[in-house]
Amino acid sequence: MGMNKSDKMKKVSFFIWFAYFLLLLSAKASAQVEEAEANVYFELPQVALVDIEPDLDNSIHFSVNTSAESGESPFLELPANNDLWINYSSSLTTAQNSRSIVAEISQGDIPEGIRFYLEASTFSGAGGSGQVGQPSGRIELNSQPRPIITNIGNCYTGDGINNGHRLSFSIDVSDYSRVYSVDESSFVVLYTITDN
Amino acid sequence: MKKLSLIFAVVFIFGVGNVVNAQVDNNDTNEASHQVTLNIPKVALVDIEGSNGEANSITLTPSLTKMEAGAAVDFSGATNSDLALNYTSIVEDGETRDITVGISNNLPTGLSLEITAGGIFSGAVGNPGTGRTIELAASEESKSIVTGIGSVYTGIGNKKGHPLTYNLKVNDSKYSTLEAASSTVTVTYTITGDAANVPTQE
Repeated sequence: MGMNKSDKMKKVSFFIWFAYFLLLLSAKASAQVEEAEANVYFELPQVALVDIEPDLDNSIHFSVNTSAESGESPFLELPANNDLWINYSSSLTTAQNSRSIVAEISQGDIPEGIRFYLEASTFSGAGGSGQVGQPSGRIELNSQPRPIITNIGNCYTGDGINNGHRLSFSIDVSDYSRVYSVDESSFVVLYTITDN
Repeated sequence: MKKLSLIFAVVFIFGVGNVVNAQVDNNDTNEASHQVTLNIPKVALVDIEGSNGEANSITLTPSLTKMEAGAAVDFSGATNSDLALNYTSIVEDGETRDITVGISNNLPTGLSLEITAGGIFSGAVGNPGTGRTIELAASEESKSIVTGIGSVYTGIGNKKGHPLTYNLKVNDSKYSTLEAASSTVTVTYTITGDAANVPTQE
């Protein structure tokens, strides 16, 4: 091969470096470095992850059924939606007490005269463990973050629908005189898991 | 070199695994979001309510009791206030609706029909219109009797919406043309503007 000592050293040092890199990628790789004498530094990271299920695109659409009776409220029934679930994982440092999940309207506007509500159910599902959060009841959403689930400790909810908290959305009319017809008004609900 | 190749292979598999996972739902952070869309259709509905519900007829007859010979026939008794105008409306931002009224055929010469939409009864929710008094004699006329209607519903019944008062009036200069007869006209109310539903009329 004609490899001199310096080349071999480079190979070896490259191998050690690479093994160390693999260690960082995965704990499973640690067995491969037992004899490489690398310094091993473990850190149990804080975890704060939140996700809406079931899909990547969880758009919900409200269409108002209107009355055909003159004088009656034009909104025959106010629409509601119970399709979505929220999953989360949380690990805290000792200095932290708990986390909350807050929700806000991050883009777009709720139409005038309309109020938009969100209520998280109590936790359900077989896939979770730990100190899951407590729902805050029916919360009116606006552009300010408001807690919908609080007192989240070290826990995970399980993944997918029927794990975590079911999200129930509803609307009502705050002021009929300011309700205007609109073909499609859209806004975005943003959920953030926060440190208390 | 073989060892190194093996390690590269492991890294490659790790890498592919992560890319695949990113395409399914495995890229969660401390934030998640979704869109909400809301559709609100236009609505425009109007009807007439009496004490017996919808589809009403009224009779306007001049009073002849205690009448003195030589006096004019007193048409002030030819009046009716049994009916009310109910409506439901959702408008576009910046739009208002009117309710127009017309009659199906000409009244007998010398007579006219005065209709007053009074102030709104309690119970209306939203932005109701303003009533006024109009007078009709010919079928080709159509006049606005309620104007400036926004998004509103009045409630249902003859004590909701605007009270309607009908008066039969005589034009003294045409007194010579009056003939004893009965005449029937249909009064039609129409709420103006677009609606996703079909406007009802009566």
